[in-house]
Amino acid sequence: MIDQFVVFARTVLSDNWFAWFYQYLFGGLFFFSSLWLALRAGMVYKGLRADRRIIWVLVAGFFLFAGIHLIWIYSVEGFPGK
Amino acid sequence: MSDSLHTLDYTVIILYFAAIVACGIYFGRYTKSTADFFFGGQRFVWWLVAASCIATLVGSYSFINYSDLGYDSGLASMTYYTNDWFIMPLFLLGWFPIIYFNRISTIPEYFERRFDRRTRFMVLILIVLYLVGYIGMNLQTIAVVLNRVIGMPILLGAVIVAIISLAYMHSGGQMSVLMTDLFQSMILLVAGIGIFILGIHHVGGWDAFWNGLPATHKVPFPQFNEPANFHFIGTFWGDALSGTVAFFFINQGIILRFLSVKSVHDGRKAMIVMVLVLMPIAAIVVSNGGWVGKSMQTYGWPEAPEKAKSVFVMVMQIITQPGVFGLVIAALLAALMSTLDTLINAVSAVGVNDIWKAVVPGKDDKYYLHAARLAAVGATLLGLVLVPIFELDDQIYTAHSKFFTTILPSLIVVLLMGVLWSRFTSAAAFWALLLGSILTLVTHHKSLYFLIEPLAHGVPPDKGYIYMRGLFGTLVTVVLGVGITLFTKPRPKSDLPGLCIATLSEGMRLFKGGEPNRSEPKTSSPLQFRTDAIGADRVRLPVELMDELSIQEGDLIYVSDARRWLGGLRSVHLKADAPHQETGVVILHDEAVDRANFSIELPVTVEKIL
Repeated sequence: MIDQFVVFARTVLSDNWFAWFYQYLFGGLFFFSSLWLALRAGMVYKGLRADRRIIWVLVAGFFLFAGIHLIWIYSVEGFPGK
Repeated sequence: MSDSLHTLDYTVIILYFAAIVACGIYFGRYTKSTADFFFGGQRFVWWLVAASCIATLVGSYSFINYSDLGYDSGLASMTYYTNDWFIMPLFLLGWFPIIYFNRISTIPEYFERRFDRRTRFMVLILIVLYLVGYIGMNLQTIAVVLNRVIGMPILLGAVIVAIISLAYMHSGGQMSVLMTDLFQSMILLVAGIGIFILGIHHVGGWDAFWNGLPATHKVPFPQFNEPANFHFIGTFWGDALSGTVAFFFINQGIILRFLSVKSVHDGRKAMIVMVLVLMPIAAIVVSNGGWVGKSMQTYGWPEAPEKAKSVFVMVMQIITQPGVFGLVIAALLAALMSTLDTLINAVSAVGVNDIWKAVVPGKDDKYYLHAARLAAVGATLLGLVLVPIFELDDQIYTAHSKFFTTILPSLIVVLLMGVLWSRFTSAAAFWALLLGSILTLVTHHKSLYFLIEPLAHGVPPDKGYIYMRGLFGTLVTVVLGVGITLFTKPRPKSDLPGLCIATLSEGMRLFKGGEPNRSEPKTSSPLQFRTDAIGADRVRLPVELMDELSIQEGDLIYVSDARRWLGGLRSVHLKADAPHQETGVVILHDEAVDRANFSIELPVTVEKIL
C-alpha cells in the first residue's frame, strides 16, 4: 500500500516536492505532537518569559527550515507538479 | 613523508598538535573532582558548549564522506545536518531537563532508575561495546587519513594520535575536551569556509561555480527512494528521526557535554543555536569540497576521483597553497580528534559510574577521579588494540556498525517510551529491547526481507535495506513495548520522581532541594566579594540585591567571574543564605572561592538559577 502511494505521488510531484511534503508532514506530526505532550505535561512554565520564548523559537525554527527548503525547491524547480 | 606536503604544511600541523596539547593541559588544571572530569563542573555558558559541540559533531569521517556525497549528489549532502529540528521539543523540554535535574551521568544509569538493574546491565554492555568499538574506528580513520595524506604507517599514526589525545585529556577530562574542542571548532569552521571561498575563486567566481553544478546537484533533497545508499526516505526515517534521537539522546559524549552547562536554560539555548545556526554552517564546511570538485569537473578537471583518494583530498591539493593545505589537514585532524576525545571521556564516565562504583563502592571522590583517569587510558588502549584487527578484517568493522545500526531503533524506542509514558513497565522495557533487537537483527537474512518490504517505500533491497530496517525495528519495538506493558504491573508515579515528563516538576524540586523559584532569571552587575566563615556551599548576598534579582533564601545561585568571555570557566553554583546589609558585596566561603577559581581582586556577577 505504501509502495502504491509512493508510485502515485511520484507521478504527480517531483522527487524534491514529494520529499518536502513528506518531511514536513510526518516530521511536523512528530514535532507538534511532542510539543503538545510537553505542554500538556506542564514542562513549560507559562509564567516565565524564558519558557514562553522557547516555544516560539521552536515553532519559528520549524517554519524557518520548512520555508527555506520550500523557497529553495521553488527557485530550482518552480511550482509543485510535474 | 609525502611529496604532496610542503615543509610549511608540516610546520602548521606540528603547531596545531602543540597548541591542542598545550590547551588541554592548561585547562586540565581546573579539574579537581569527578564532576569537573565528567561534566566540566556544570559551569559553562551556552555559547561555549554550542561552539565546542561543532567539533564533536563533525566526525572522523565527515570531511571525506560528505565531500564524496556532495560530489555524487550535490547540495543534498547537507540533508544530514539540516533535518534535526523535529526532535527538538522532545530534547529541550523532555530529555534534557530529565537528565539534568536528576544528575544522571550515564545512559545505563537512567535505565536502572527508570526501569531496573537488568535493563541497565543490558544497556551497559551495549554501550561499552559500542563506544570502545567506535574509539577503535576513530583511531583507524585518523590513521588512514594520515596514511593517505602524509604516507605514515597506519598503526604508527593511530599510536601517535592516541598518545596526543591522552596527553591533553587524561588530566582534565571534560574540562580539557570542552576547551580543546572549542579551539578545534574554530579551526574547522575557519578552514572549511576558507576552502569554499578558495574553491569558488579557483573555479572562476560564484556564477561559474553555480553554473558548473548539474541541475540534479542544486536541490536540497536526494531522490526519493533510490539509489540504495542515499535516498530521501532513508535519510528521513534513518537519520532525521532515528539517527538524531540516537545522537542527542543516547550519545554518552553529547550527554556529558550538555550536562556541563550552568543551567537547563543555557543548555536549551546551546542546542537551539547549534541546530539552527551552527549545523547548517557545518554542513557547508564538510560538503563543499565535493561541490567544488563537481563544478571543477564540468570545466575540464580531467579525472573522476580515484576510489583510494577521496574527492576532498584531491580538491585540496589543487586549490590550496603550501601552509593552507597544512591548515586544511589540521582541520581534518581537529574533526577526528575532537570526536575521539569525547568518546574517551564517555567511556571513562561509563567505566567509573556504571562499573567501577558498583565493584568498589563507598570511596571518596579523589579515588574515583584517579579511576576516571585510568579508565581514559584503558579505553584508549582498547581502541588501539582494535585498529590492527579492523585493518586485518574489515568485516569486523562492518559487523560492528551493522549490529549497532540495527539495534539502535529498539534502544531509542524504549528510552522514548520511558520518558513519555509513565505507565511503561520495567518488564516491557527489558523484553521490548531484547526481542525488538533480535527481531530486527534476524531481518538481515535475505529470506526475511519480506518483513521490511511493506515499509520500504519502494526502496530496492539491493543493499539490504540499510535505512528502512530502522523503521521496522521501531514499529516492532513499539508494538512489543505497548503489548507487554498492558499485561504487566507498572511502578507508581511516586517511584519515578523526575524520570518521565509526567513527573518532571518533582525532579526540579529534588534538584534544588526545595520549591523552585519561578521568577524571571536576572543577572547582577559586577560586584566585589570577600570570604567569611559561612557554609562551603552557601553565598550571602546584600538584601537589596536579593530583592532586585527576586532571590529567596535557599535558591540555587550561579556566581561567576564578571568577564563574560571566560564562558563560565571561573564560576560556582551555591545556595543563597540569609541576606546581609553590606551594599555591593558578595560573601563566600574560602572553599567556594577555590572551587570557582576566583581571583580575590576581580569582580563577580550573580544569577538566580532556580
